[in-house]
Order: sequence, then C-alpha cells, then structure tokens
Amino acid sequence: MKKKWLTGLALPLLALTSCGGGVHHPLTDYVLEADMFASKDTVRVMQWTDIHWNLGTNFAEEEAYLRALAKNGHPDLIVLTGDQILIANQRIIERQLKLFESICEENNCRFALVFGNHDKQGLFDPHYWGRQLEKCPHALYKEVRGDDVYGDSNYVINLTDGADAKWQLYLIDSNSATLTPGLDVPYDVIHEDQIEWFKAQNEAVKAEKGAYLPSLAYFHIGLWETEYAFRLAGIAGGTIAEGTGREGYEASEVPGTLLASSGYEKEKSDFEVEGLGPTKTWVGYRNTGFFEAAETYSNVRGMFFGHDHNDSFCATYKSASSTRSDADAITLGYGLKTGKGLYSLEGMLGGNISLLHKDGTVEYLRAFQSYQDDYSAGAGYIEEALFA
Amino acid sequence: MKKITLMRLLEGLIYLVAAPCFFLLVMFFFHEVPGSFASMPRLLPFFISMSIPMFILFAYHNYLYAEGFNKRRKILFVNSIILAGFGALLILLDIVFLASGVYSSLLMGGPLAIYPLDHFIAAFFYLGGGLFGAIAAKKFLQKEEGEPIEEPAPRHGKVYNIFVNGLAKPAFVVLSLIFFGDLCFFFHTLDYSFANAGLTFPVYLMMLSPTVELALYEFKFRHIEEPAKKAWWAITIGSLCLGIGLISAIWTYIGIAKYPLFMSESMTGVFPADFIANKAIGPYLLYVLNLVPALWFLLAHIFARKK
Repeated sequence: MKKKWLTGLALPLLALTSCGGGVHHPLTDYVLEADMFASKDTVRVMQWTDIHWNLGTNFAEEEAYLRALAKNGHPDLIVLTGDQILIANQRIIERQLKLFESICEENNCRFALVFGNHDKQGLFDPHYWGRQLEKCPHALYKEVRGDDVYGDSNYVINLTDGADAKWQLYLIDSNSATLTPGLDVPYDVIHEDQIEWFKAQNEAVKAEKGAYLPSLAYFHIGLWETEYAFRLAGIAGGTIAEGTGREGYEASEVPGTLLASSGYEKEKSDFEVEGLGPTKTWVGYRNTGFFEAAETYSNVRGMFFGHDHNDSFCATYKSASSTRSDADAITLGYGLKTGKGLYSLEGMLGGNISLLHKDGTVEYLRAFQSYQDDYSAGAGYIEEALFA
Repeated sequence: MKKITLMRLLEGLIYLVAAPCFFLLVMFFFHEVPGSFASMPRLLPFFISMSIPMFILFAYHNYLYAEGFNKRRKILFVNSIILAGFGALLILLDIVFLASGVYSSLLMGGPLAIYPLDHFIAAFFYLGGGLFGAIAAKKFLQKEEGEPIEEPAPRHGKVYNIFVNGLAKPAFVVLSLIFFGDLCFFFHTLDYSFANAGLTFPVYLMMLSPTVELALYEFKFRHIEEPAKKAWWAITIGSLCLGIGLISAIWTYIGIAKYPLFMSESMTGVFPADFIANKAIGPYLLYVLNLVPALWFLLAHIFARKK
C-alpha cells in the first residue's frame, strides 16, 4: 500500500517535469525572402541595437531620434540585434513595434530582429513578442515554435533578385542567461543545436547552388573571438582605451590572427568568464564554436552584435583553425548602440551599416547619430568607413 | 460582521494593494542601477507613489496593535501627517517637473499610459487622506471600551526586539510583499506554452507560501488565546509551511541543476533582478524565506511548550 502510494506520487511528479526537446521542422520553415536586389545593386542593411525601452523611457525624444537615424541612414532593412526593451510592459512593446512600422512606411524599408538577453524581461509572457511581430506587415521575422532549435529568433532572410538569392542574413538567438546551482547567472551562448541548424541551412544552399551564398550573421551576445581579437588589437597597439585590461598579453597566448581593427570600448569593470579570464566584452559563458563553424561551413562575411553598450570595436579576424584566405576573413564586431536607453556613451550612438552588393562584395560603415533638438538637414549624422 | 474583523480584512486589502506596487518599485529600482538612475527625475514620483501603500500597511498594522489609546492616536496622527506630506511632495514634484520640462505633459506616458497624471491624482488622495487622518486623530478618535483594538505583541528583551521585531519580521513582510506582488502579475508573465510547468510550479509555490504563512499568523494564530490550541496551530502552520518550503526548495534546486535554462526560458519576467544583476538572488531569497521563518516558528513553539 505504501509502495503504491509512493509510486502514485512519483509518477505525476515525473510527468510534470520539463520534457525539453521539440519537433524537427524542415529548413525552409525558417527562411524568408525579400526581393531587395530586384530594383538595385546595393542593399543597405542598418543594424540597430540595445534600444532598451522601458517604463521610464522618454518616448517623444527616443522616437524622434530613431526617425532621424532611419531617415539619414536610409536603410533598405533595419536589423535590430536585441535588447529592444528591458522592464517593459505590453503597451511599450506595442508602441515600439508601431514606431518601427511607421519608420518603415516613411522610409520604404523593412525591419528584422533578434532577441537579446533582456527582451523577455517585463510584464508580459515570454512569447508575446513573437505574437505581436506576426501582426507587423513590415517585419521580416520568423519564429518556428516548438521546434528542436534552441531559442526563438532563429531564421534566415534571403535577399533576392527575383528568384535568385544573392545574400543571406542569418538572424540567430544568442539567448539570455543560464542559472547555475551557485549564485552566478552567466550569459548564455549560441547553442550547439543552433550551430548544427546554421550549418544545415548553409549546406542546403550549397547543395542547391554549388557554393555557399555570401551572408551576414546577426545576434546579440558577442563571441569569445571578439575578446581574442580585442586582446590582439591591444597587443598590436591599436586604438584601445587605457585601463581596459588588454595590457600584458603575449601574442602567443591569444588564439587567431587579427587582420584589421577599429573602434574602441569604454567599459570600466571586468567581467570574469571562466576559461577566458577577465573580459570587458561581456561574452557568453563558453565557446560553443559558432565562429569556427561559420568559417568552415558558410560564406559568412560579417557578424554583428550588441549587448556591450559602450563598445564600437570591430575587427577582421581569423581563428587559429581557419582555412580561409585573409581576403575572406570574417569581420565581427559591435554595432553602435542605438539610443540612450539604460546607459550609453555620447559619441558612440547610431548604427552600423553593411552595404551588400549584388556581386557578393560588402562594405561596412559606422553611422553616428547624436541627439538634436532639430534633426532637419541631417543634423548630427555622420557616416564613416568601419576600417579607415 | 464585527468591527475587529473588518479592520483585519482592511489590513489584508492594504497588503493586496501594497504588494504589486512594491514589486514594481523594486523591479524598476534594479533596472535603474546599471543606468545610474538616469530615469530618476522623470520617475521619482513613481518611486514615491509605489512605496506609499507599503508605508500605509506598516502604519496601519502599528495602529491596530498599538498599546493603548494614546499610542494609537499618536500613531494615527504622525503617520497621517507623513502621508499628507508625501501627497504634497508628489504634487509639488509634478508641478515643478511639468514647469521645467522634465515632463513634456501630464500624459506623456510611462509605467501607465497616463503617467504622470495617474500619480498626480493619487497624490491628492494621499494629501486628503493624510489630512483627514490627522484631524480624526485629534478631533474624532474616541477611546473605546476594551482598548486596545488588538492585543499588542508580547514584550521581549532588547536584543529580541531589535533583531526579531525590528529587523527579521519586517524583512519577512517586505520580502513576502515583493514575491506576492510578483505573483500578482502571474497572468501577464506566465509562460503559456507550459514547456517548463513542472519546474516552475515549485517556484511559484515558494513565492506564494510566505504570504499564506503571514496570513495564517496574522488572521488566525496570534488571536488564539487558549494555550493548547495555540500550540496545535503553531505546530500545524510551522510544519505545513516548512514541509511545503522544503519540498519546493529541493525540487527547484534539483531543477536548476538538471535544467538550468528553465528560468531564462520561462521566468525572466518573474526574476527581473536576477537577470539584470546576473546573480541568482531570487531563488536563494525564496529558499531562505520559505525555510527559515517556518523553522524558527516551529522550534520556538516546540521549545515554548517544553518550558
């Protein structure tokens, strides 16, 4: 009787626990198409990141800023790389999406987004964003629910010229944070199953077209390779702010090869990552190998992310195991923070722009936009090449 | 219904209002820390306004359990003046912020779409309520038969009064308020996919349990006079709360160890501070909140019986 009672209690408890897993979906379920090359040879993709709207945002000021940035940057596609909000409610999300729709309507463009580590923090359920995005006609967003690829915002945008895809944009969820049995809550990473999904998508393209398509990857939390590149830039005496903790490394201690770098960071405190030591790049808690996978199994030309507000560091970098030529090395780096939300650095606000040419080449720009009382005639807007 | 019952129910009602208000305050406090309180001028009235219901809760509780008529009148008068002061301060801040351009308008939007108008209106209620309370304390409050309203808490030594009555008990109430306030937004923040229901269930239970324990104590236990009945209730409440707390804590701890991602998948809205500060404050606070007071309560009455 006692055994039956205990078993009877154990079984419902087991049934209640999380099962994990998910349903496998065809790769095409994750793909959207945007026929942006039909009418032009160059597509301007502008990255906005870490907008951080919240219950205390000065909406009038921020809306004017974002409208000006879009008008001056005249993108064909705005890609938001996470932390669109922090401590918000449903009304704020709706207001933000309404703004994006309005901006896209005014500027004849579209918008896409990935989630950052803070985007689910607020008075709304974890899937509210996805439901609202489905109602946005200008949004290029795809969420495959209940699938076996970790995260929500994992999808591909094919930029086409008619039926012919010329470029791909990989929007990848770098997830949030992970609890441990201890007190630490380190930043999460792009999981291995997401990397397998990424590889499978690229292999499918290669199988169809004979080669990988040139692509960019957008996500929120940077990779360990960003920290390696930054340390190499510090060793090389690049434009690194003092007191960043990059001093003291030998080149032999840092994997990979740095080919170019620009920008700087103004972070003041160390962020310890086990296995990496003190960093200021706020990366995930482990290296899951996404960068190396991208070098080998794709033709990713650039990876751009956010998360670290006071950082504009970008680099062209090859991992130690890379078989790519220097000319094909991946450019990775931080998008300029967009807007003053939460905390920011004056002079380091705006967005990065990637000029995707139909022939598969790409150029990168930084687009600085400062706050103005009057944004007419492009006031406060400056563009410069990512690498001088 | 007896007057005393109504007064206790009123305390419960104030608790229900104070909880979500204080949770919002705490949530937004943690949000402001990394930004060095950049939003503070604009949100200062919000912070003040959200703390007032908790102030009223503590003041009302002290009023109910005051030792004697004179003390009760003093508590009512002083706290009413403070409440009126808060109301006046809020009105002044709103006027100054509107005049100086910190507010673009009274309907510029914020926590609610009609911020700061909502707090501006509430400020008049605080001011009016406070003035009314102060006047009532001086003019209308009459000594009634059978003073005090409630039996004051038994006297203890100085150290006990400082650490238990002065720190531990208020801390328990404040933390219970925060987690219950968090639960008030349950239907907003619940993961409706229920993918992690089995792991989030004990967490929600731990968030609810301290308030239930507090309610049982305030509304039932402390008003029992018969020693044997009191002891029975003490052991029942203590054992029940400790048992539920222990099972939930172990379940949660194992859940985090086995599948640490469940909280970031389903509960980032529930534990905003943890994911802003990158420290697991919430789970550990819940373990302490569910285990320590119940254990203390149980042991205190077991030892009291033995004496």
